[in-house]
Amino acid sequence: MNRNDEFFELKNDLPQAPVELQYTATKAITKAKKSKRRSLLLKTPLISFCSLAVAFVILVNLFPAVALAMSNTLGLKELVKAVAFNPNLKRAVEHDYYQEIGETETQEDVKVTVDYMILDAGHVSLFFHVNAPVKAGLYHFDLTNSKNEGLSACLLYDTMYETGKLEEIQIELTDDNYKLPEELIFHITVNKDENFQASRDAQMAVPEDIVTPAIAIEPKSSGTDYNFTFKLHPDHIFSQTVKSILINHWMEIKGQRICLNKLNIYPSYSRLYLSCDSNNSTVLEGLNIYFKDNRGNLYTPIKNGISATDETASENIGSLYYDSSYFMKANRLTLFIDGISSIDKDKQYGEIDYSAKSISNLPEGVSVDSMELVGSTLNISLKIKSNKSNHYDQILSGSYYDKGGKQYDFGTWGTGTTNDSKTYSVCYKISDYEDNKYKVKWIYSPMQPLETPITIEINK
Amino acid sequence: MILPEEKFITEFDSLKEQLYRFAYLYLRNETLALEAVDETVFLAYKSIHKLRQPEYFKTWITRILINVCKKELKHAKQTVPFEEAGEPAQEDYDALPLKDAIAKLPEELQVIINLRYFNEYTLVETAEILKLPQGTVATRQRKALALLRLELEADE
Repeated sequence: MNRNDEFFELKNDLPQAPVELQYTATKAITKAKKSKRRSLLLKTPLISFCSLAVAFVILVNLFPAVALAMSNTLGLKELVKAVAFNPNLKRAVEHDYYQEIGETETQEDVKVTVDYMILDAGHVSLFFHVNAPVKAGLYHFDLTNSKNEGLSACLLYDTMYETGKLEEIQIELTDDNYKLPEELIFHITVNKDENFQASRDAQMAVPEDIVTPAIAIEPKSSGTDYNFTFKLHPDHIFSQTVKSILINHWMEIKGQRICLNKLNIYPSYSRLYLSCDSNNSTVLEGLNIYFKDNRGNLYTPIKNGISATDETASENIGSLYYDSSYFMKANRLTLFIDGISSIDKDKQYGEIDYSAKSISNLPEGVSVDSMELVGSTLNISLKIKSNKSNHYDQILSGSYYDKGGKQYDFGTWGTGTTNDSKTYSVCYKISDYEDNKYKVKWIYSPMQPLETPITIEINK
Repeated sequence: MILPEEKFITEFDSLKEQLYRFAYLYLRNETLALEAVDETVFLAYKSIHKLRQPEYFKTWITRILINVCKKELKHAKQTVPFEEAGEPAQEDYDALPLKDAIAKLPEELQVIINLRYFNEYTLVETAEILKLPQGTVATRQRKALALLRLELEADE
C-alpha cells in the first residue's frame, strides 16, 4: 500500500463523533448559564448592600414570580450541603450536573417544593423540601409514569422530613435497558403531627442494648396527611448519560470461569457487569475487585457483594457497584482482582434441625449461636467470624423454603455485635415453624485471597 | 449576543464531526477528544460575545479547540517539546506507519495536516485559525507532505 492509500484508509477509519456529542451544545449552554449565575452570586459581596437591598425590593414588588421563586427553591448551597457525603453527587454538582426544578404545591399551611434532580441513565436523586408549622414529620411517596405504572427501579429513601431541610430520594434504575419515562409523576404524602417530634425524642432516649440485635423502631404518627402530585420532566440530556465500556474478558479463578462483560460509568456511580459459566461447580457470591485510573485515583466497591442485574436475571449474572470515574479526566482504568468468595452448588441450602439446634452446610466461619422457639416462631441467631470492624454481611437470602420449594420471606432480620469483638451476629425469624419442614439458602462465604492477583487494563 | 442560542446549537452541530475528528487526531484518545469538544463548546458559548462576526464561527471555535487540546496534552504530560525532541530524520518517517509518522511530526506541521487533509479546512481558514500568513501555511503544508511522502493536493 502506498502512502496515499494509507492516508485515505486512515481517514476512513477515524471514529465517528459519539452520540454523547448530540446534546453537547445544549448542555454547555445550561452549564454556562448556571456558571454565570454562580459567578454573580460570588460577586455579590462586592456590590454595596444598599443597592442590593433596593434591587431586591424592586424585583420582589414588580415581579411576583421572582418573589415566589426566591421564597420557594432552596439555594445551591443547600444542594451542596445535601450531597456533601456522596463524593459522586458532590462531583456532579461541582460540574454543574444537575437539573433545577423549583416546583411548589401548597395545601393549607403545608408546602412541598421539588428543588433539584441529579439524574443519569442509571440513577435519579430527587431533592425536595417541606415547609410546615412543625419541626419534623413523616412522609411517604410513590413514583410512577403518566399511566400510573410503577418504575422499574429500586427506591432508597428516608421516611422523615425536617421542615425547611433539603431531603433526598434516591432511585436506582437496576435494569440496564430501562429508560426513565418522559414524565415522572412524584406522589408524596406529608404527615403533619404536632406531637411527632416529642414522641420521636422519647423513642430516641431509650438506651440501646448493644448485645441484642438491633431492631428498627419506626416512629409512629397520627397527624393529618396532605397529598401532593408533581409532574416532573427529566431532561434527556441528563437521563441518557452513561459511558458504556465493553470488556468481554473471560478468566478462570480457582477453577471457576467468570466473564467481565462491561463497565457502565454513570455520573452517580459505576457498575461492572459480570457473568459466570453455568457449568461452574460453585455459585459466585463475591469478587474482590477494585480499579485504579492512570491518574492514580482508586475506585472501591460501594455496595457489598454481587447485586442482581434485574429481577429476572439468573444467579450466573450479576454486577458490582463502584464510585464513578465519570468526571475524572483519566483515559485508562486498571482493574485488580485479588479475592473470590463462592459456595458449592450442592451446599447452597441448609436444613434446619431444631432438636440439634443446627443447620446443615454452614459456611466456613459461621456457627449457630442460638435457636429458640417462641410460640410458633423460631428465632435463629448466627455468629460470624469477622476481621473487619463495623462490617456485616448478609448470611442468608431474604427467603426460606419448604421441602416443596415454596418460598417464604423472613419477616425481619437484623445484625448486632457480640461480646467477642472478632464476631458479629445475624438474627432471623421463621414464623409457623415446624420440624423438618424448612430449609434456608446460604449467600455468604468468606473471601478467599488469590495468590496472584489478576490485572486487566481497560480504556475508558 | 450576535449569535442567538438556536443558531449557536445549529452551527456547532454542523461542525461537531470535524471538531471531534480534529481533537481525536490531536489527542489520540476518544474520551479525551470528547471531553475536549465538550470543554470547547462550553468555553465558546461563555465567550460568544467576543465573536464579532458570526461568519467566523468555524475558525473561531476551532481555535478554541486547539487551545483546549494543547492544554490537555500539557496536563497529561504526553508531549515532548519540539526543541527537546529534535526533528526526526526523513528515514524515521519513512519507516513508520502513516498514523505514527503524523504523530511524530512537529506540532506546528501536525496541526496543518490535521486541519487541511483530515478535516478539509481551506488554506484561508487554516491560516485564519492559526493566525499565520497563508504563505507560511502553504510552506509548512508542503514540508509536512514531503516528510510524510504524501502526494496530496497542496494548492487551494
